[in-house]
Amino acid sequence: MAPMEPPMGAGGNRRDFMRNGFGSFALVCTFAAQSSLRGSEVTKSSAPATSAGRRFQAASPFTPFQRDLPIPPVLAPVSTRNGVDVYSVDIKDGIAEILPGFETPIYGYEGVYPGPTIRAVKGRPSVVRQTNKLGFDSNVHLHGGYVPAKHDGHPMDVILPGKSFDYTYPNEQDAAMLWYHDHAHGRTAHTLYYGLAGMYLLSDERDVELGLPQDEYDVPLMLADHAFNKDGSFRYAENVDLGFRGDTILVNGAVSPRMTVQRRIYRLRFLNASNARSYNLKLGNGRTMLQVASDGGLLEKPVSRSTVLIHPAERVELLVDFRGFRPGSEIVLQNIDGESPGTKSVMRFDVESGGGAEEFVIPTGRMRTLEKLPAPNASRRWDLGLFTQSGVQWRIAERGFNPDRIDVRPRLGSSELWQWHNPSNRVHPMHLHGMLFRIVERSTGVVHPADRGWKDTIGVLPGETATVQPWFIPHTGRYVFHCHALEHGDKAMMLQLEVEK
Amino acid sequence: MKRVLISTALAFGVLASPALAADEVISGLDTLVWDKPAVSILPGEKVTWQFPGTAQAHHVASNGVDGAAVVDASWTSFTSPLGVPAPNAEFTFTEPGTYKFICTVHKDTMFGTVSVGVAPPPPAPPLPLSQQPLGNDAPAPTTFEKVQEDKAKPKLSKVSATRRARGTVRVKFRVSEQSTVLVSLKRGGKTIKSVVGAGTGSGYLDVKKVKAGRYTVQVRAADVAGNEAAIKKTSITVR
Repeated sequence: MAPMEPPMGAGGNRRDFMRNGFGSFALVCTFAAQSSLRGSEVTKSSAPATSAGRRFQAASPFTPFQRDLPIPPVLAPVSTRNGVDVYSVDIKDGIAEILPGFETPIYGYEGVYPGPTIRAVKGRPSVVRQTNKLGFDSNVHLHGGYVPAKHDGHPMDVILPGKSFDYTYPNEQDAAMLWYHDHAHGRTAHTLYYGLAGMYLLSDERDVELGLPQDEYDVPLMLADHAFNKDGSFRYAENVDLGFRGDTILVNGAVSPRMTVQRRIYRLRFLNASNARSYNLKLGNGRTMLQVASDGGLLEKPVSRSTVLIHPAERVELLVDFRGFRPGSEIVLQNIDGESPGTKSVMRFDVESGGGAEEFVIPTGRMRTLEKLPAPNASRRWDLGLFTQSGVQWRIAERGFNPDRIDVRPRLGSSELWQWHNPSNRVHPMHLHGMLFRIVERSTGVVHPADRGWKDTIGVLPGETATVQPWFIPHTGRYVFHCHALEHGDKAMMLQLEVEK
Repeated sequence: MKRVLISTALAFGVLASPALAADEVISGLDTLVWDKPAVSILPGEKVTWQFPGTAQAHHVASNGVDGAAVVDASWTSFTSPLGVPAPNAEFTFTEPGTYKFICTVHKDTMFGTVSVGVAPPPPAPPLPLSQQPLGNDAPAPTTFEKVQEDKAKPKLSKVSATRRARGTVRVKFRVSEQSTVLVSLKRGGKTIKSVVGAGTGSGYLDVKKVKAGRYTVQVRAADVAGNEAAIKKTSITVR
């Protein structure tokens, strides 16, 4: 007979039990050790019976689902005094093993790709001392962060080689999946491709109140498409029109990896860190996933999805419930918009046994109440187009980036309606620095419920006119807004705004 | 005029290939290359760039000349408009020299030369491995899930209830797979006390602070997938 712990906070929960079934219990006691009773298992297709089969499988470094999903290291603070977490990061050259048996030269935060994950908590500022050990200018933009202009990583505010800058992040906004990346003028297509991107997960108490999965069940996933040379180095060719397209999808720096999951609920946080590729994600043959958050954090209510379109720089957080699958089950996350074999498989989830009792819950009701925006006091239309004067470049309202010109001067605390008009045949993921917006209207149809939360990037589709309402808070100063298809943003699809008192 | 030029060229022994003596047509492709990145013509001949059926924006523009001197001033400003597909463009080369052309949208892969009345450049040595593509040769996946859903109900057995210390009821049971188990003490249709546990195999849960009386003990179990076992009941009297 197994020993027994007293029940913890589980008594008198009959009402919850009746409403939600057993899954509603956040805390349950364990009455027995792991048993050998596991039920039948599905035979794994990834394990060929013969050694020849195994050699054949290993023959191509691109064979999907061969490598376990890497999780980027979490950056440890060098100091936590006075309620401020201080981090120190070197921006430097590094070597990554992306294709088995090959070395890939990269640029990396701390020399790794993806860069180390920073886990920040709302109300607790962080200071990240970035030291540029590369041979050229660099800087760091915290994408999606409410950050003072001086610390935002404006393209002209750079860290010279050998110098450092202390980026101060107030972390006063609600929990969200942010990310940090290089933003030096005219170079981002190159530097992000070669590895200068990392994730910044800002959490708050709401995550805990809602019982959302945490720790090993809360998984950041950075998607990026790449191509390779025969020596294993990244292959890059500029494409100003379409933007770069690679023939291979990396998740956290591994070719279409596999992730072993327990029979639990997982919070999968997707970041599209690709130069210009959009993904249309589909789980298995169309199993539903529950989207709980987007760029600016939690949605008001969870949204059930069978396909999820994610444009460059966007974030999508999905809850996936693996509890109903027997151990040995395998489910592929596909990119149904992939144009080649290597761009169709994103990753695979392999269900294993174990994991114990579920301690997290799937939210069903209201998760958050979004603040009301002030009434807009201006309306602007931004035409997006490709021009050939002074070389090939993309423009916003027929203007290319000019650091000496301020294109908009909104008042702090005000809001405006911005209409992105895209007559071109390319997607333009339009991103506003330092502030957030809401999507108001799209010419292509109703605004999807999953797009009704706070956003910092909107994928404006070919032929589409999309209206967004930015709220110019909380900081004054000079910021940029630009296309996050990096080849477009570098050439020269970027304008400046200065938020004035 | 052309014949004169050819014979002149041949006389000087500069040009050797009969293929040289014609206008050239170069196609820009959506694989982001020119079909003929190096062509040779004679002065006075014409090169036409075309972009048949392309779905990406291309054009052609001068990228200067090989060597120091710009031999044809009008070449320097040569550029054609972008388009999907782009319109044809042509240029008649009158002066000998090596002229470089480019699609500025795809400058890393779409560049080339027109050799006019001079020896074409020798074929380039093979590129180093660091510049040769290693294409993704993995086949497309065909099955997207290999799944067995867990629809089997767990089995609950050997349910019994015993009195322990004052006011404590120990409910023993056996459950066939990892499950969450709910033990309820009921009286008159109402649940008086309940306790939840999780695990597999044989186990027990203690219900504490139970007042005296006769109770129905109800045990329910649900596995990880949420399948519920048949409810088991017993009874106990607490003194």
